[in-house]
Amino acid sequence: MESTKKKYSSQTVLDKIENLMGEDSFVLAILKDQKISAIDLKEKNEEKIKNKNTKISELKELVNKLHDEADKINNIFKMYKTADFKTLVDVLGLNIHFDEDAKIVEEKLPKIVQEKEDKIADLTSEVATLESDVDTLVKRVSQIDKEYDDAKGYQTELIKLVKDSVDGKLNKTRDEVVKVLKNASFEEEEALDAAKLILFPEDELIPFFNENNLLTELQKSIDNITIDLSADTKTEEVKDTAAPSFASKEEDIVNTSIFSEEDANAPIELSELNLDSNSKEEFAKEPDTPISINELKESFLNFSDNNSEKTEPAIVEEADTTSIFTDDSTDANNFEFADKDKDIDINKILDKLGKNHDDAQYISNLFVDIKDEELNNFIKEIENLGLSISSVPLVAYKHDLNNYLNNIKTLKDNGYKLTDMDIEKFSAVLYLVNNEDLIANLVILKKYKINLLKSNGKICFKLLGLETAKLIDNLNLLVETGDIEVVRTNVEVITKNVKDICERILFCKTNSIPYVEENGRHFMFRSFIYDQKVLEDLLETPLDLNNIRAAKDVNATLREIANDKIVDILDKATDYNPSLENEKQEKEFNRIIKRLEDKAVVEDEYYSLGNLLFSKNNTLRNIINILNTDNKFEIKDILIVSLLYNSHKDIDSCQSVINTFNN
Amino acid sequence: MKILEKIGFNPNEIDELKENIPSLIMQELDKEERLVLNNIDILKELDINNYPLIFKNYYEMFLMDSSVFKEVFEKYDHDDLIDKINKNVTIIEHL
Repeated sequence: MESTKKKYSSQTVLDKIENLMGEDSFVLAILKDQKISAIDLKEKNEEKIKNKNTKISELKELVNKLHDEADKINNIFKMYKTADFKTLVDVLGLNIHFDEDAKIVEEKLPKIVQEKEDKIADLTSEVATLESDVDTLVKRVSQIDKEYDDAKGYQTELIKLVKDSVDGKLNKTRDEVVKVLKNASFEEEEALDAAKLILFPEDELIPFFNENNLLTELQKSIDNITIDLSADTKTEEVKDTAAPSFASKEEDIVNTSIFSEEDANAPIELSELNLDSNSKEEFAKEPDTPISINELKESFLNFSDNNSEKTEPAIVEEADTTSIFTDDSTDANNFEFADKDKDIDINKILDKLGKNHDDAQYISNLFVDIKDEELNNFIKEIENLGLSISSVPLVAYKHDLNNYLNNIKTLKDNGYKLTDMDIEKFSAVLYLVNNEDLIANLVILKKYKINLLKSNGKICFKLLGLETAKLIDNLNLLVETGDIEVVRTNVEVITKNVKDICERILFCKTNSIPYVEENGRHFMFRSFIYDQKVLEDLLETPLDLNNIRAAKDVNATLREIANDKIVDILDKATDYNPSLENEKQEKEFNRIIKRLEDKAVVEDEYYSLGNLLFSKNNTLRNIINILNTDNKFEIKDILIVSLLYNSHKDIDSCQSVINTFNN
Repeated sequence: MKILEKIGFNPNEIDELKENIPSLIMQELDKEERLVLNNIDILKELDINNYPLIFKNYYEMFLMDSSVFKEVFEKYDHDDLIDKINKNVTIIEHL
């Protein structure tokens, strides 16, 4: 994705347009953060007010009691003196000091009461200040709500503008386009650049949207918007109902503990958003604004949800994806905000799925786009697979349910028995990974004779979430260190930082440190192989292990010291599981393998040349990819590059391989 | 990676987790921040203080429905569970 994104001369502007059109728009993200901070601070102040008022009450009660009891005792002191009880005191040894005590009460009480009253006054003043702050924060939250609605409105205009541009229907002057862009948060100069792209979309805007699959999503988004073109009056109604619903969610939002003092102390001014009041007014009067904010939100959620899986936000990399604005739509008990128009009864769906109503509040945009028929089919399919529908996690419903089902079926077809517990606890990968990628990973694992079962018999789903290239690289590394056998019963190793694990394995091998232990029926790596600190503690010395080269560095070296045309071919090869296409290629393949086996020792998973191990799968994949191009190369050149390409060998080892085949 | 900061991992741990968590799961953990943090809070409330270790090993579990997540940890004797988790975090897979 990165390489695709950098090919445009106006990359930054295109990224910004894309970002501003999405749910994760940095403008919306800033407003969300501001709202969270304001609500957090308000809640904290309210807590402080409560505590201080409690303290004031306690102090007032204490002062009252002091006055009350002092009155009583002063009456006694007036009636009697210590001398009145001289005989009793002398004979019985009583400890009565009426005179002294009266003096103490007379002198000390006023001072102590004054101290308490001063404290009450201070606390009362602090409470007043805090109450004023709370009022300001309540107003601020309401203002942010308005700014958010405005920002959503500007976002709609931007989407329509881009859509019209892409469709060749744009009927706006440059100044009009610039105005929309400035409203949507472009600076003056940036807006002029962006306007050029929008007014002349053929060169960059359309290709960019095409390559990032944004056109289809844009169309979907616009289709959703146009459904309610005539709903002008409804817009106002929904807006009215939205406000109280949003406010009622504040408590829930605060309770998620996602706030920090830092956020609260870092308010971002309106001016930073570039939304001047004039332009806001003009937007509000715009007669062509066709949809309600909520409808726009829904259509955008569809757009952004899908889009976010394909491209990362380019402007704000860490945009907060938790939408406190859209979260209203997921509160099981307060659902009118986003779904009123769509007649979705979230509780009904949750009941149908055997789900706890409370769980929905932690997941935004749930069931936004789901249809009854789709849901019913899904329930039926899950049950046909012998699984309980209630075991499917709610987050799964935000993803492609057909893909999820296909992944479960694929695993089943490959002999993996899934339980409700697997689905409930560990199956996130199954709704996240494309079926095509899952199948590719299963094929690769099969080639390396690895199955998904861990030593405890559980399925290691994480393995299926790795990018196929990464999976292959990790497997090659483990083959090259000679420890793939240990991994077969500890497959989760492949999901970890394999490069670092292999660094520690090589270190242990070099220093004759036993690093594998037997555990019942299988072997496993000792704990220090997984954790550098444990190894360092054991050896009582820090270690700087960085001997394994990245495959891409080895490939770059090969370009210099071996046949660079073959390296070019492999750079372009995208098939992780290629096969020979004709008899001629098969013959040539057999000749190459014979030559290789003359020089190398052949093992199950690797070829070895001296003490150097090379992944057999990697080497064969490279040879087939080279042969499939039908280019003519010398066998020795094919072998040198095929053994080393995507391996992790150092320069000396590369040279040694070259020498072996040149002799 | 904002979620990792919010859970309280230090920069070194974040780097390590970035290497270990498949990117599509990492993105989802970030996206479902409220759910993940609520599940972390459940562990904190149960005084399961080695929740960072649990997260490092079983991050995908934090995308579970919160009520089910809570049930997993609540159905055992509290002290016994903590003792077992402290001794060997892989017990989680069998809960």
